[in-house]
Amino acid sequence: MPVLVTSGQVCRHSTAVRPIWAPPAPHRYQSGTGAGWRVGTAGHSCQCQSQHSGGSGIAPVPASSVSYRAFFWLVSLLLSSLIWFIAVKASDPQDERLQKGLLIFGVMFSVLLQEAFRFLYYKLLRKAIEGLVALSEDGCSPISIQQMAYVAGVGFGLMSGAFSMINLLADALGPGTVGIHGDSQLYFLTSAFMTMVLIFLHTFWGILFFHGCEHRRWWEIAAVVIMHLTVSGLSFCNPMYVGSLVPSYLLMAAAAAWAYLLSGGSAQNLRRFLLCLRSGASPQPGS
Amino acid sequence: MIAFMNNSDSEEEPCNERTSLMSAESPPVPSYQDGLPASEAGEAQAHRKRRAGSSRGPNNIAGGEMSGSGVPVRESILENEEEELTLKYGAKHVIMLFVPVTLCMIVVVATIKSVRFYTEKNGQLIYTPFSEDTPSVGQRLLNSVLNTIVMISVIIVMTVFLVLLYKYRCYKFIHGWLILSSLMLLFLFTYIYLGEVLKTYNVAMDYPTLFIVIWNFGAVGMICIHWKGPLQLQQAYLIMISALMALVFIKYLPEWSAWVILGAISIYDLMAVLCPKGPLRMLVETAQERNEPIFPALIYSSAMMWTVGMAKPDTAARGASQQTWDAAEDGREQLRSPAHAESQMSDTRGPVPTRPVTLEELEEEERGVKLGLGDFIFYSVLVGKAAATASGDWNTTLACFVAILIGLCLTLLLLAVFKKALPALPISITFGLIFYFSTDNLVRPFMDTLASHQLYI
Repeated sequence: MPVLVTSGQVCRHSTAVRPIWAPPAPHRYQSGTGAGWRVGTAGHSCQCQSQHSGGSGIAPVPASSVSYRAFFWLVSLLLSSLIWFIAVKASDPQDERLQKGLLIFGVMFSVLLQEAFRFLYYKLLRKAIEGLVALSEDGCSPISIQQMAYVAGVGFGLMSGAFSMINLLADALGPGTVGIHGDSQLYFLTSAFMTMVLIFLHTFWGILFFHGCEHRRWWEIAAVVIMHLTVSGLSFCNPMYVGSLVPSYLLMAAAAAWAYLLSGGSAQNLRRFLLCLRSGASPQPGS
Repeated sequence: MIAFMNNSDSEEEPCNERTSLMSAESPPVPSYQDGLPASEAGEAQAHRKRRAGSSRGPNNIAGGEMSGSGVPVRESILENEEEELTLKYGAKHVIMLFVPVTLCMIVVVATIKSVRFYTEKNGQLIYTPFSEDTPSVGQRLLNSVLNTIVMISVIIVMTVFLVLLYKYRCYKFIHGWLILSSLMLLFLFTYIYLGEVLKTYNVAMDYPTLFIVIWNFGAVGMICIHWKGPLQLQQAYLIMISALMALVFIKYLPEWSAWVILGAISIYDLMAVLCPKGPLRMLVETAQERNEPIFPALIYSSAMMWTVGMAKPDTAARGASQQTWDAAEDGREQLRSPAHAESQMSDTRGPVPTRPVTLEELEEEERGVKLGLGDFIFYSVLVGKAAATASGDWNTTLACFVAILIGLCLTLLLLAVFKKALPALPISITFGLIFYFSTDNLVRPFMDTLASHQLYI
């Protein structure tokens, strides 16, 4: 980073307005990782707020990581669709039971493949974070693995939700009547709720999964995979929505609590948070 | 094309594109230039629309410039910082490019899905003379390949023509070409687009209103693009122009030809930018020899430069000016040299750098990255075609969109690693094509079956 510039320096906040400054007191210029400070000796350096450089350091990484995540999910979907497609083409299209069986197989295989890609993504992120840590001066990485876990989960969830819902939404615009052929009339509603629960679940599963990988607790990983298989399997109960939605939401609550605990939350934090909200006082630093 | 851009590192030299190109080679002695922007200044200029990359000049991190600062800085720290900076900037550039590319694609997809004019077949461009209305598959394939050959040849010829024009300094010709093409794009295509949108939504508009609207839109666009204007307005105009161009391509390119052309264009892009005798590479090298900006036209730039000055009111009067120049028009082969626009800008910037270096003057600059408008156009063509022809399926569009963004991320990553001009098309278009065909044929039946049984994976 430019230590001092008499004529030009790089200030990395993006603004749309031109500021006109008075000659400032000696600023500090903070390097991108937010870890080190460089002081300009000639008395002026660009003052980049820590939240600017830190923010700009952290914010773009998750944003592009969300798209990487979406890409990984897409690839997993692609591969599982390929397998299913081949299986279907190789089989007799008239046999209902076989088709249903192939569908079940396709769903389960897809779930397993998604989890495998989540693991691959974890490996990739690990390497990336190690690289960033190696580059930074003080051994701190600009972004923690928990944040990446959260972002990874969100990316996965968003992509999965988008793929599930977007065609439905497009159809919902058009003229039509829901359930006119005897199907459930709650199709759109339940699809929306199911998609929502899946997105949340993916987020929490991301946190759990990464935590399990970090701390080598294989049972956490196994729990995530089993939960995913359960939720997908429960969706086979549709249109008996009681059988699929209610357990899914219960599972989501459990996963939420678990992820919250793993991320460092506790009942005490929660209570303090709620109390602060109720009393309207600003929370004390450190609470 | 993606290029890192850094404007005006120094004030001793005339601060314009030339300087920003120059500063890599001759940094002023007392001031410390950040090695990264100084060397990246070499690539400040835009090349062709499709080129992505930043070429680095000699790296002047080496301690010769420490005189301005009293802080001893070790080279290893600087190198680390530079890499950090590169990574950080890489991440930031990703975001800076995500938004305009996404906006352009959204505009194109929204138009395709709502305005039926752009999905109706109404003839073909002369660049694709062979018709695809043949009954046999083989004949159709052959015709699309022939169309591709014709189109790519036209592009090659025009590119070489432009390189020759540039080599022999026919700047006026290029500039005139530039003005004409942007005129056509901003007025004629916008008029057609507006007409079709009004028809779709059954909104009546009288001719005087239409004239006023189109006139204002076009005139402001010409000013913003060729001269000066607020940064975001310039960017918005460039996005709109790219979207218009992409819509024209989507409408007039026949189905199979469009896909083959997309594939061929990415291969051409790869070769033109990376081969030693490629026209685009020669263009860059010529411009660097002359220390001139290389065709700032047809480049979307996400950076800006502003000057903060207290001592000089004229510098304070200068707003954020950015070199974004005119955009594509019919045929990507039309490159323009902004040389005249550049010299105007450099003249207006003349007063700025000749002021003495004072402590009160801070110049803030933001390093940016430039992406050629041709890249915008072809990304949008891919996504628009996916939206138009994927049997009403949104999953395909979404998959292509994600694929293109990932390709862009990877290209920017490579840019941060290699630090030279890189083609922005190949990776994105390859991913886009793979995902289009696989999603349309494999994923769609799977997802449809799942949705019909309301299963979730």
